[in-house]
Amino acid sequence: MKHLEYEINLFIDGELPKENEDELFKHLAECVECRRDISKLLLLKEKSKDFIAHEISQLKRKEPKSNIFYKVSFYTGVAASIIILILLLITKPNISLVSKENAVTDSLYSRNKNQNLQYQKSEQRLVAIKGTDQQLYINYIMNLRTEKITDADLLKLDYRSK
Amino acid sequence: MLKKDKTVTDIFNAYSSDVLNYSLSLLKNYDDAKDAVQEVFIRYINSQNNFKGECSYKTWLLTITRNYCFKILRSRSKNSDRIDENFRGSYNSNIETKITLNEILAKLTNEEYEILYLREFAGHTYQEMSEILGISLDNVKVKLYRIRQRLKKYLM
Repeated sequence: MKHLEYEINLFIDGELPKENEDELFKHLAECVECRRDISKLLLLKEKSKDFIAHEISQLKRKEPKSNIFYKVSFYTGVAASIIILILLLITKPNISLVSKENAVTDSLYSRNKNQNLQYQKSEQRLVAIKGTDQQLYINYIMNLRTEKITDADLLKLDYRSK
Repeated sequence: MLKKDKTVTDIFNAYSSDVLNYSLSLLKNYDDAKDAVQEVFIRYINSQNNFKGECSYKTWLLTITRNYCFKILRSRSKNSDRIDENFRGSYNSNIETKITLNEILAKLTNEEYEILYLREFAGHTYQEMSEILGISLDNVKVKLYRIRQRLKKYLM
């Protein structure tokens, strides 16, 4: 019996002319081998499609060359961050502990601490200031706080008067 | 002018993935395939007036894609040691060894792989394949039939 392999190939792709379909169906009714052939070809179509789809998806997954720039930038940034962190950990800042009484929160006072400024005792200074324009500033400070005037306040006053 | 630009955009949105996949199947390189997409649409824009409507936009684009990709493949083969640019690998069907279907598919020639891609993956009709490949309709039928007859033997 002649097998219609060529016609079967056209049929599974939907390319067999309508006028040839009756002849094919009639043959398929009588030929077991051609019926198996249709099953094999349909399986082959599916496997071929899967193979090609897999290959294309693998090709798309490969990173393009342009990402190398971003990779290099990223790893350079990470390396720089690690180096900075190490430098911060190994260098010790100069911290001097002071008692609560001597702790000075005024930044201006701290900056000028090492300068050669001779501070008169607060009480003597206050006496000197009394009656002058600077008294107004002292009164202002007294209104704001309950603590006594500090050296820092007097230093501020010196700067203000300059 | 605005209408023309809109048409190009529509065509790009509709068919750029088909062009990319086809380029990938031929060039086997993602970067080259992306470059090919750009080049194909540039060529399409430059040759819009030459399109006479004898085939669909998709078919025409894929024909441009094929021509460009083969140009790239030819320039690659000049720089490589391969003798035959269509030769993906070889297998001898007379050797009685257990070979899987995937191994055979990986060793198809470029032409065979292209035919399978257009039919099985992209789902083109025989007529479209004939226009893209630049061969006759009967030639498409015969080539596809022969490829399948050879591959059928390796089905489990």
